[in-house]
Amino acid sequence: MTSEVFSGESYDGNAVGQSWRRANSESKVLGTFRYTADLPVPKCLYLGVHRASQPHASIVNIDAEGAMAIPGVVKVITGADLYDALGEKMLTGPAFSDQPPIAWQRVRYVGEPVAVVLATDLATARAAADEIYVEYQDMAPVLDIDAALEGHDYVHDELRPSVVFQDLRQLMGKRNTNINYEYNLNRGDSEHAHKTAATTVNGEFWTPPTSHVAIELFSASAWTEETHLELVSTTQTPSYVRQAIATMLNLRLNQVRVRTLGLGGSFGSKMYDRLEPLVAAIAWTQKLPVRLELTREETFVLTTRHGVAVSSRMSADSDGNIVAATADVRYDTGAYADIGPRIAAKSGMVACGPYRIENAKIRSRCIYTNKPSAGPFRGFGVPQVTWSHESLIDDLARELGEDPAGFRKRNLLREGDVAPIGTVMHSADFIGCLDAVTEAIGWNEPLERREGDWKWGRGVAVGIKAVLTPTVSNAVLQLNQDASATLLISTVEMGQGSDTIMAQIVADVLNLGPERVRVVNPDTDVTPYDTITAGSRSTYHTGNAVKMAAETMRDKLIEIAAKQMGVSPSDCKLTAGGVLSSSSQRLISLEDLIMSEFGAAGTTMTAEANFTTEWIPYDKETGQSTKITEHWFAGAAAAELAVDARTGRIRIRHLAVAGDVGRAINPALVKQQLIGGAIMGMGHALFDEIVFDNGQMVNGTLLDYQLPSIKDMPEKLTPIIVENPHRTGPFGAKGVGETGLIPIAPAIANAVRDAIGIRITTLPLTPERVLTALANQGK
Amino acid sequence: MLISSNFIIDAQPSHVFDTLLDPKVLIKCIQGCQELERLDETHYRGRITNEVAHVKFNARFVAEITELKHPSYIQAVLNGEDRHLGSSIKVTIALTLEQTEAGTAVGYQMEIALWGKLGRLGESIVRRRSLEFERDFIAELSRACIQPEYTPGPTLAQQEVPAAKTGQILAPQAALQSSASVVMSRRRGWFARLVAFFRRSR
Amino acid sequence: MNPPILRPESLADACTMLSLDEDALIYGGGTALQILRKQGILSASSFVDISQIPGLNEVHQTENEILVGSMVSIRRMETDPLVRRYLSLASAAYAKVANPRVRNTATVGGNIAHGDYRLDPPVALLVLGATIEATSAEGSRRIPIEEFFVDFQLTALDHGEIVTSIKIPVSSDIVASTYVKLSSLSANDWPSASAAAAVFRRPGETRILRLALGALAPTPVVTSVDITGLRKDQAAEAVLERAILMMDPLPDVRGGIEYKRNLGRVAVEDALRNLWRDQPSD
Repeated sequence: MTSEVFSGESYDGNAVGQSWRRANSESKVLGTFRYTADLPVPKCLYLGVHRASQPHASIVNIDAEGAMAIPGVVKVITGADLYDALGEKMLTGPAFSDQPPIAWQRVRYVGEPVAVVLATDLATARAAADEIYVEYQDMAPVLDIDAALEGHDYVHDELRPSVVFQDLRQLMGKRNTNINYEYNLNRGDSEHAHKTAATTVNGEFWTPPTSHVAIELFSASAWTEETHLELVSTTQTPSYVRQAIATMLNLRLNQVRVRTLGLGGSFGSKMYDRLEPLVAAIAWTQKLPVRLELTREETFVLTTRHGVAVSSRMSADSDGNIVAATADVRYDTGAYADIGPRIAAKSGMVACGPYRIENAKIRSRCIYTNKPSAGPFRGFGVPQVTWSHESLIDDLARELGEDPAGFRKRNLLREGDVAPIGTVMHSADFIGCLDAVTEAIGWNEPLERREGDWKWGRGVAVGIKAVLTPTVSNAVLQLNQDASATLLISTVEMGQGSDTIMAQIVADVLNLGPERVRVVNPDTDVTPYDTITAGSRSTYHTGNAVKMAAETMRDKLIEIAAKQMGVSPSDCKLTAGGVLSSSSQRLISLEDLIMSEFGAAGTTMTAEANFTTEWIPYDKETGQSTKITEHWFAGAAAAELAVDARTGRIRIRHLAVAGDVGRAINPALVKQQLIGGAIMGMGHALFDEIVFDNGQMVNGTLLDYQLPSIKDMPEKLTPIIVENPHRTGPFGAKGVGETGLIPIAPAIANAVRDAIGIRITTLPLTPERVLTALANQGK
Repeated sequence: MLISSNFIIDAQPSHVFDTLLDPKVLIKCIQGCQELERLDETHYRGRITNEVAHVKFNARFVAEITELKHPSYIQAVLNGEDRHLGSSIKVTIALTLEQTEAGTAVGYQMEIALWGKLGRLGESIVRRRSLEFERDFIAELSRACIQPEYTPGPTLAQQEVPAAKTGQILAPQAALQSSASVVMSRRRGWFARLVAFFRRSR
Repeated sequence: MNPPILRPESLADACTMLSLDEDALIYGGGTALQILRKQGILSASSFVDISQIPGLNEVHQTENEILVGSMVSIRRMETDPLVRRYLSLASAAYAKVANPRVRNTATVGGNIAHGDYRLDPPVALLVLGATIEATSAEGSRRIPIEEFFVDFQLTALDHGEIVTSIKIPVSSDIVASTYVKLSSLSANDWPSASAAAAVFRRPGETRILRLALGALAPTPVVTSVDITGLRKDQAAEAVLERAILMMDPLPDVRGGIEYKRNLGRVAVEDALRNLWRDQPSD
């Protein structure tokens, strides 16, 4: 896990491929780094949120007298107040406009905001929120997926897809359903293929809801200036937030300014509509500066990862080729759709795995229940379906008496193959990743299984994910007269290292050394539109925009230099010392070049670029598309572990994880991403689970919801970079934020299967679950 | 969470049945019940206080009897709220009464939903509380059935009548499964309170 | 609202403060109270912080015992040479509490006064036969640790009583001791089952095995088994049989009753194995 530290003195002009030290690493280690909540804002009123104590109920009365009587309390705002001011525009969401900032008429999950206190300080605001009394008329709650699909109680009276999306329009106003979206993939004749296949395996898989548990908690401040609204928020989607708030408040985009600094982790939690609609609606309608900071307990109910049920089947012919696969995927999206409908489609579609399968059928549904809303989470719903297909294919291989790695290898998609979704594969080296991880753990060497209480086993899994398409990225690059550069992008640095690698891209193109490029914090008044910082998309998309802006800048510099030196631009090239004329061997430093161009010190040159991707929308009946995505992420993991047959506890001896990143801009950071993803995946495999009882989250504190600790780490963790340059990636690069996470849980479960001969289909693999399985095996 | 168990009371089902619906008896049977008022044939209203793990709660509740078959079946729904702790409780109770040789076999099933801040306290606390709740409930109900005019409470402790000695109270089935240890813990609960009482009066 | 924090500088002042306010809570290291406070479910009118009271932060050795002040940190019990040398079982249990950050903050007195059934130190203290000194406005009294844990989250302390010290006997009779902690969530979680055990060799060559279990019943529980003259397998069988009777686990997110019973059995088996290993063969 060591990272080579790049020292500026040995800089040779090639920034890409170097392990530059992470931007701001010193201040982050020393604790002096300024996070979003540290950004000075005007003196604000603090918000205290009174939350629902019912999973599903109509609001009969809200008694705020007690709260108002507390000194320091300025106001109490309810959903009805916001509705009076904003009407249905207060309902927001990235796919469906279904979520009010404060519950209106009805609460749909335990913990939903019901009333908000404005007070002069935080403690008073929170204390006063406890003094609000709400009278409810309870409604039958919809507590799980099965109840949602079979019952007659509905979380929403009618569906409210966002008007922005054409493809959701037919769902508008649909009643008597808890299914807000259904995606279908149909290729070939899977029923017939299953029937005539030599071998078939089935499974019922479950991944529970989990929590992101970013160390940094949420905060947001909003206030009005003369004609516009200012918002400082922990968000990984500032451009989205500006649009959403402008729509909600009926403002022009230039009337909403959204800023964020570096985030202390997010993993998809700080995305789309979180605290922003609430603080913005109050600040704008009340014309008061307000600030909201969440506690850890409040953060648990703000957003979660989807719990997902998958019923799946996979068949092979007698030669060991997969001939058919089917999957019925049910995403539990909780009380509000959030991005769930998109997850159901864009992740449900890979539910059969990255294999050559001519007959495939997938149904993927996004389902409302009376629980906290589920939204994006590192992997965007893919790890949950990977849990199904990578467990199932392992069983299929074993059923056929084949080596699970060799069986996968024969069936994996290769360059130029057509995926079950209908898109041709490029730059997704599953086989390279699989070979790398199996080699790392010594897959082909005999495993000393040992007698006794510890049962040893090995497992492997691969993962596939499509990058979000279509999306838009922009970059504005300013080159200063002193040959330093300022990069304006709306990519949010949240630990993934974007500030470092974007600077490296600029530095590589312009031959600048480390510290010569500074990336500006996202500020929608300053930095240009970028769809989202999520889904591992920044390296490729924003990276491309940044590279294009830098290349434009380079061309400008060469043009100016050529003019100044009286040579042809084709005679000039940009070197570490400046622009060099090949014919005259004359070198002009960038400082001198810009100085003589503008005749003033401190001047700037600007270049900008846009990078937009396109897709071909999938067919409604077959789900097929010849270009479903701009590119694919490919990864693999292998685990060697031991199961304690007495306690059920799992100890991982070696976890190897590989990702095809096209090209690593910064190998050290890529490895750290793979490691981080693998550890989070290990958490999902062994620990993470939100437990609900009658709609109440019973372990929504860090006492009872536990992540792997340092003592739970694998004895050895090997990150492996696989590089198959993407033809249109910046320097061939793709992202890696999720790759390391996706295959981990099934790799571990497959190793457990190998160790004890039992297929466990429910995550996480808690000691109790393992022990119960062992006990049942004996029966 | 679902909690179910059964116990035997040395009395006729119809007597147990009537006793169970008597607010004067119920207030003593329900641990921490401060107020209990019968509003009509099927509705009760009351207040309950308790403390566990440094957390004090004070909940007002309304109970509705949703089904009644004299003398064999009672079904009720209780909705309570601790306003200050922003928490609600909903308990759906089904009680069955059956004549046996030893007396009336009372079976019960409770689905408890605890929402809000208290819901985070964890199942262990709720289950533990419900065990104590059950223990006291059975003891007091037995006493009420056997000696209707008997006044339970602290006087009982002073008389040093441990629950197990009354003879009529049998361990709940759930507790019987774990045999001696649970019986011990039941006694310890009483014993501990006695000890505490004497210590306080010392 | 956050309760005010009072910082008495003498034990007498602290006792007075507590006697005047029945909703005051004693604040030791704060590792448990702060969590409840942040969750907004603590009903304390004030915190009486006893960290300024002189004398509560000391470890003394007397003839046959070690006296530990209630404000001594968990970390010190783990690392103090005196404790490690004479009370290796206690030291081993204190070393397993949570993580170093918590161990540096949490205190010996707060740890037991919390009355939690699944903390690490109480089982060791039960095996060692510690005595708790509690002081209130009415004076001081000594509570044998076996009488201290009364019921689920309930101790023998009355309101107004402050744990001032724990007296732990130093016994030369102990020939072997061990602490076993098994968790079901992350490695530094509370135990889902724990066992502390020691073999005491008494004059006349009787052998007594004392065993305490944590997290397996509403309170930590302890027992003594006379294993004089028994072979190791016979002794193990007797101890295990007794241990199983002591178990009355509560189901929660860390596991159900059956699972915890099983884990309890494993903890006892591991403890016995450690004892036999450390103890010269008969």
